[in-house]
Amino acid sequence: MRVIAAYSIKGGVGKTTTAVNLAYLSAVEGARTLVWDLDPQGAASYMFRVKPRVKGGGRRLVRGRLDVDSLIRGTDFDRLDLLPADLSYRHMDLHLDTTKRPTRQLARVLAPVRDQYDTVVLDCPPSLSLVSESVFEAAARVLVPMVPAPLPARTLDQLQAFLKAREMRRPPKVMAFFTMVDRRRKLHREIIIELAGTRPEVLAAEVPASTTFEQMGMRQAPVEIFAPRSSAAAAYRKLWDEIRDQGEF
Amino acid sequence: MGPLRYRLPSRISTRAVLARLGDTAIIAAEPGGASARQYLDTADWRLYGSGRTLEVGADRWGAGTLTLRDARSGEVQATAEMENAPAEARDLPWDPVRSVIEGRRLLVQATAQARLQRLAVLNPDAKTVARVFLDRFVVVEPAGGRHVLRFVTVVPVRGYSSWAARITAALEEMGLQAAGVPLIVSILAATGRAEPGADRGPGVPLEREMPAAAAVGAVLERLRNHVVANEEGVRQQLDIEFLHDYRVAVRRARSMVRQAGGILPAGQVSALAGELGWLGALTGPPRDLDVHLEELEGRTERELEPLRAYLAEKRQHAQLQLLSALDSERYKLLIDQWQSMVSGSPGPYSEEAPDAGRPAGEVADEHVARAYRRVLKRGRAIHAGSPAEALHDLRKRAKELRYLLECFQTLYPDHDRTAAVKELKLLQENLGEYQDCQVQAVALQTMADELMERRVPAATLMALGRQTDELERREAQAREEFEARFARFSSARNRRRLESLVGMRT
Repeated sequence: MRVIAAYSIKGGVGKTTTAVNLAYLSAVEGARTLVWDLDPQGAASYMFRVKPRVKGGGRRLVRGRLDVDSLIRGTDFDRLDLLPADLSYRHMDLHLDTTKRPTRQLARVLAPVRDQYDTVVLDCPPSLSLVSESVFEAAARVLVPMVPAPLPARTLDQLQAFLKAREMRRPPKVMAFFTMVDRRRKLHREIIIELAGTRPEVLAAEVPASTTFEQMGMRQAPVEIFAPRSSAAAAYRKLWDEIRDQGEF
Repeated sequence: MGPLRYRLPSRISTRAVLARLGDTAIIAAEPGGASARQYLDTADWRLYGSGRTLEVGADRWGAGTLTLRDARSGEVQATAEMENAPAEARDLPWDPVRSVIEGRRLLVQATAQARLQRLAVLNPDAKTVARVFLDRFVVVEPAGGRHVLRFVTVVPVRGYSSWAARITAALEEMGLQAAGVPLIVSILAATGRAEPGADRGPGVPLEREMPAAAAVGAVLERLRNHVVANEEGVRQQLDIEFLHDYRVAVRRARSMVRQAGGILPAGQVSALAGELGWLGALTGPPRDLDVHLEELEGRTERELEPLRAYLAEKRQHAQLQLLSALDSERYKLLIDQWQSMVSGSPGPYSEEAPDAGRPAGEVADEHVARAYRRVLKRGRAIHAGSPAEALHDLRKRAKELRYLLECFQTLYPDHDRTAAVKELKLLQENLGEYQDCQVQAVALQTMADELMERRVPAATLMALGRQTDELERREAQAREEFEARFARFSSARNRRRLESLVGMRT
């Protein structure tokens, strides 16, 4: 079971879009795939038309008191399942804090379904907290979408410093990529060139700013379903290929 | 809850099913399709045995898709696009499946025209909460007969099983019944064929009370079917297992016939045994060459090339001899004679076959006990100075016992018989290793002599020499281990096990 996290300290950079589209590509390829919607806003759950509610309470789930097996919902797509969000996730830091070894907790929740999935995609809430720490413990890859804005390296630096300070036994591999890219804008081009040249963790694939992504919310489906020939769909295919090309995990 | 497949009887129309589903939930059509499907498996159904089915589907444009499914649930495990239908393991992209198939050829075991209609069951949020497939298969027999099979399959979506339950309840109210067996079994049954693998092995269903002649007849018929079923593969050399299976069936049959004195008429017995001996001897050389060639497989040393070429040439020659035998009048007669022997009803008591009408269980017990005593007697007579022939002879007797236990397996409780066979197997492995090494070393010597005349490079001969050394080392080791193996086989514990199996003292 390979665990990938779509993560960013900032909100609104395309985490859920990334999680949903990559999970779909993974499932299409034949991998049994699970998306865990950790964001209390439940955007990924909404995309898959699943009610953002964990029966019995998200608090009990993250504290290991609920059977994860019974909470998973099938999506409209073959081999792609979802562990829905729950409003109580907004207090997840507090729930985690009251458990033993809080940073191991998410991995422990997933343990019973280890053999059922080949890929698990975590859609994380924007923060740098105990939840993030638990995510970094569970995931082998952390995908960081970045908007080509000034000082883009700052969030990456923060993240790397955070990981380093944790002194983890097996820290996840950070993979950053640009989203909402407008190639017509000189600033975007410059930022991308600058960062791609200096930061090895920045991937070559970039996701364009596109109205296709706005439609995702309306269509409630991955872009591959309703706009397979769009540049948006092509960008995610390229991104997925690049992630896999960097080795099995 | 997994997918549930229902047989749709001809009295219920698809339209009626759709109407019923529409009354039960919101139904939306999904892209379906039509395809010509070929179900592939090895001659011995290895994929099915591992719980899978493999199909090549060609849509109307001829594009091929390979689909691997769980045999029981029908769930898709993997798919791949293919230009040509796969013929062997290396043509498949899935490692676990390759290791199941190994060196066997993939054959088209069944064909069907499939038309699939897919429906999604939606909840008020327009989320898919279950799927329903309406599948129609037309199975065409080689002779031209057509059989239509229709199924309704309900596939639950995880976390929404109550919806699937609603759908299945509605279908069951209509009188639909769960298919209960894998799809491939239904397809085979439509053309009168048995469940895959049901007729593998010599173990035909037997009753202890049936007449002994009927039991032996049933075993011989099964073995004859094996011979006939493998013949085409032997002729075409599809893979080396066809010849192996063919040969095993012939040898089992010969052993059975030879031990059937008193059960079958003596005249028939000796005639058939002789002919089976001829057939067995014919299949020996090509089988040995297959084994030699297989050992060279994957080895890339250049000095082995002349050896490989030499063996391939010999194999070709042996094949021609085998083919001319299979085409001969003598062979046809043998197969016919074999058939008439098993299909004739067992005659009443006759002096030629006094045991024919006795209960099969009783007669089998006696034969097994006798064969066991023979193994014990020959084995005990062997000491450090015994000639190799003594061990070869013991191997033959052990084989006879093994064949009896296998052919009459359904007369004995599974657990006890398996335990007895396991001990016997250990002894046989040792004797087999000893003799095979010897025979191979002699064969290598002959090869070396012949290759020398062809002036092959010295390196090739040296490679042969190294192989001979290795064989001699293994042979010596096997001989050394024999004593301990036989002691285990003839131990009081194992003896009690066999005595309780056949219900008599040995």
